[in-house]
Amino acid sequence: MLAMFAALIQELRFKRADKVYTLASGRVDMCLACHKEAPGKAHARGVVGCADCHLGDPLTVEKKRAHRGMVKNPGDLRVADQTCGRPECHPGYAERVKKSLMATNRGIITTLRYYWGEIEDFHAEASVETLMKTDETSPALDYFRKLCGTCHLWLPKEKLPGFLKKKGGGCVACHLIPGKNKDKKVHSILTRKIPLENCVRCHNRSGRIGLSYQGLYEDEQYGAPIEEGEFAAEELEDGRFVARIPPDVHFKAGMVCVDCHTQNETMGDGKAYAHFEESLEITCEACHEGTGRTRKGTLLTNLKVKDGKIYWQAKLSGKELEVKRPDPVACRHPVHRRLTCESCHDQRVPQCFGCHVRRDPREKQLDKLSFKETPGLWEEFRSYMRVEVPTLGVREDKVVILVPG
Amino acid sequence: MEKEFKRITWSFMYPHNTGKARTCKDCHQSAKTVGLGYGSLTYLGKGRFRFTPAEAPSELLEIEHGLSAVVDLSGKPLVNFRPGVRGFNGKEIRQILRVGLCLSCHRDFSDPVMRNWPPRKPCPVFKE
Repeated sequence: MLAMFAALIQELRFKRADKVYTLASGRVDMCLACHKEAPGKAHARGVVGCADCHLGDPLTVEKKRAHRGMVKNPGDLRVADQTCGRPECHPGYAERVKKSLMATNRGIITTLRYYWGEIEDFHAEASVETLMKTDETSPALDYFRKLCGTCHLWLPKEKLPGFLKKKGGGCVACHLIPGKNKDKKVHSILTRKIPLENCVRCHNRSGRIGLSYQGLYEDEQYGAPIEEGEFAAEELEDGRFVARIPPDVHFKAGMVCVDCHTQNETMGDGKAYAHFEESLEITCEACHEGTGRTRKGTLLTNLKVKDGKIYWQAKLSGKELEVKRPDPVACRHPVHRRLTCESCHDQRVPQCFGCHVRRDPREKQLDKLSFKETPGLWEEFRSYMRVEVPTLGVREDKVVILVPG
Repeated sequence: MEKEFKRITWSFMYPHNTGKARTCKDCHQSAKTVGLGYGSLTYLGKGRFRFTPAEAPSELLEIEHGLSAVVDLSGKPLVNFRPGVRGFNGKEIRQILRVGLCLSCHRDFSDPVMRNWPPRKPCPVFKE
């Protein structure tokens, strides 16, 4: 009698679904009974099941059972093999991305250790994933852990405080944009049209390429002009002041990072490179000479040649942009045969002279790989910063732009 | 115990601020561009130049040259470079700056002399 009463209470409290929910493929997805969110066209609600990405059990409406084993962020590289990279969806991608430099940070780690005299092999193995699992440290690694370790794909989204919260997340570090209705709790949208801000969230330090591209310059940080007793300079999310400089012509034309940088470069081509220059494919010539192929032979499908004119279909706006061919005299003159395009066509570059760092062993700082406060506080200093005419030098018998750092 | 090391390393990069090309003078008459750092150049004749740095040696960092310099006029490196990268050597610096002396008369490639310039042909006006 008591058991029957308990069962009755449970039945009364239990909210049954009004029907059996199915996906377009006919598979049952009971998540849809409660969840109304829609993650955008590419993963349309009712086509891709919630559990295909977020795991859990789609065959029940019992919340606890349904949510068992769920992941909030399917893009996290720790689960990407079972979610985004599952065989039915994007097979092989997770493995490629894990080998890419944005996931391993091998280039940053190795360069730092090499410059600091800790290793002699400029192509040494290194990965963030290993550093996250171990306590391996050294002066350069301690510096990396505390100051650099926020910009890699293994960083769990929303793990770090403040503006760092938005960084990381594996696949979604790039592929996620906010949902359309900002007032309501809506599902973020997954996209292949990666907006500039997703890239610049990380690519805004060191060479400051993400800033220069948009026409921003991290100046001497005086915050001038002062208006009504307050710093009135434009400010980045992380608190750095920026001044306006002429933006890149490609930015002015409405192009974003992924217009030039191919999938093989950004998501990796399956090879584990030591430095970015090895993974880089795009060349100016691929478009401006109209060849339509990267230096590794990848076809650029957005490039079209019509009646002798070259056009690029911008990836975000879809607009057809006419591509200028190189100047037949200045660019092709034999005296300039060693010049890269940028040695003439980039009039300015941010240069941080006399960059130096200091570690105070008395203080503590958050290790962004172990998420623990550990002894040693790093502070960065510079003698002076300029956005000025670049210095030129030579690499692989080509004239290139040199910068400190 | 205080431990420290001082090492300046220069690397190469593409600035991502592409636009209209730099002028001829911007490279061929610029001490900064060829790697000497901020300062001024004087032509001494017979292919020789003098460079007067505008920057004092960085005493605080115990460096005997300005922070914007990577090589001297002879092409001797003053800093470290990322593997595979170097500053211009003495011959390259002299060649680049030598063209700078022509630019006062032959402004750019709109000048037929510059467009069809035979490198070994002596200038009838300029006395080396």
